[in-house]
Amino acid sequence: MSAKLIQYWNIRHGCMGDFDPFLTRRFIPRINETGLMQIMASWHTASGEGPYFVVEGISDSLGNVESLVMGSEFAELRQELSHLVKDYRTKLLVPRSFLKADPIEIEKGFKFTQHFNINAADIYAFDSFFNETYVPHLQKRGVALVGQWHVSVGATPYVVIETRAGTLATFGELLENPGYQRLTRDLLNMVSSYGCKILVPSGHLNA
Amino acid sequence: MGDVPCIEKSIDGDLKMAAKFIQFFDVLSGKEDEFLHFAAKNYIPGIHEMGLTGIIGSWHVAAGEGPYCILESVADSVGDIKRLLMEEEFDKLNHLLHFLVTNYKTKILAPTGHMKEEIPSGINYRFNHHYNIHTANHDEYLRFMAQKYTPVMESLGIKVIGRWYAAIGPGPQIVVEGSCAGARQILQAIGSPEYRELTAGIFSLVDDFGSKILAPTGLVD
Repeated sequence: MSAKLIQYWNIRHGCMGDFDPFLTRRFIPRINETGLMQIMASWHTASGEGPYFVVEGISDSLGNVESLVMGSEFAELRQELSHLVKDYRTKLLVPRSFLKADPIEIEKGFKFTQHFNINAADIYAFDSFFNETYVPHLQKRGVALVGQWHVSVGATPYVVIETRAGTLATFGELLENPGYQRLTRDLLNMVSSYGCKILVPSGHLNA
Repeated sequence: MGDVPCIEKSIDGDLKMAAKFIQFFDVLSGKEDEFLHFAAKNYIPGIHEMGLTGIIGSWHVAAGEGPYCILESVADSVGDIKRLLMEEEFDKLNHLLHFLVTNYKTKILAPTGHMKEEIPSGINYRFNHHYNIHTANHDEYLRFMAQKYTPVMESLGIKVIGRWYAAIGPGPQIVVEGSCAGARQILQAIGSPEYRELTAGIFSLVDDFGSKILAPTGLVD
């Protein structure tokens, strides 16, 4: 079972000049070289709550992520990173649904992520609505479902839905669409603690 | 902060805006129709009848953190909002509202005094930024907002319509409101190099930055 480690932070004031080369020449390559996890995207949170900088890594298994974060290499990188960033936090995600997994490669496009808790009494209704109504509507509007995750470790809400589009305009059209707005209100009848984010490539990896 | 509210904006000639009362909540599952009926027929008219505040916006959070529903009211003063909160009729209306909603919270915003706040006419979307200003960078922040932020946002098609501080209620301390005709305009701005440069600039002056895209619900014209 694959796993995703998301790291979030804000860059310290005055550290941008040092941060960019550290991330691209040291932090990402050294994590990738461990073979335990591949960093496949770095984002800015364009709309939503911070931290502003988001780095996503994907791994074949939870065990590999655990080996990575327990290793001295990662601890050293974290220590170096801490001089350049603040508000560091992580989230470990495991698949909620076994979507056909994307091959591990650099992510392209823009992302719209939604997070929420599913009401216990509505779990079956949610799955049926989400798969049969909500996702097809998104797809019809050019937005692809690319991940359904549970938060295994880290702050809840515990469900994270990832969607992707080739342009930000696609998300703009979606947010204005009355059908989408109606479906989101329907979704909110089955979930709580709903929030969402629009992510744009930070330019370090997936420009 | 030492800013003194000094904004007077006429709405239809009789309501001046010197403070905002923001209510956030999620509608309870299965109560949406009942909520819409209650809000349109009882809650909003009832608040207006009291004559202390005017509800000028009803929003859904299209992108950002919840609660998902937002009611936006304006008043002549923070004092009028406090008077509203003490009204027995308001208490009754809110008691009924609480049968239909959850995660209710409120905030009172006062103008920072650095611009003339506006209420856009017609249907509009909002792109709001919120953050805390570094005390040490306050003067530099004010220069940045006047010389860079407002001109760049407006060149991207997003009109800056208000700069507020949270007088009462949860932070962050500062809320800057932007307005435009649609979400597409906001997304186009977000994808531009100018916006990227702007946010890099603002991050050197503030902490706890976040933003929200708000879509009109149609409940309030």
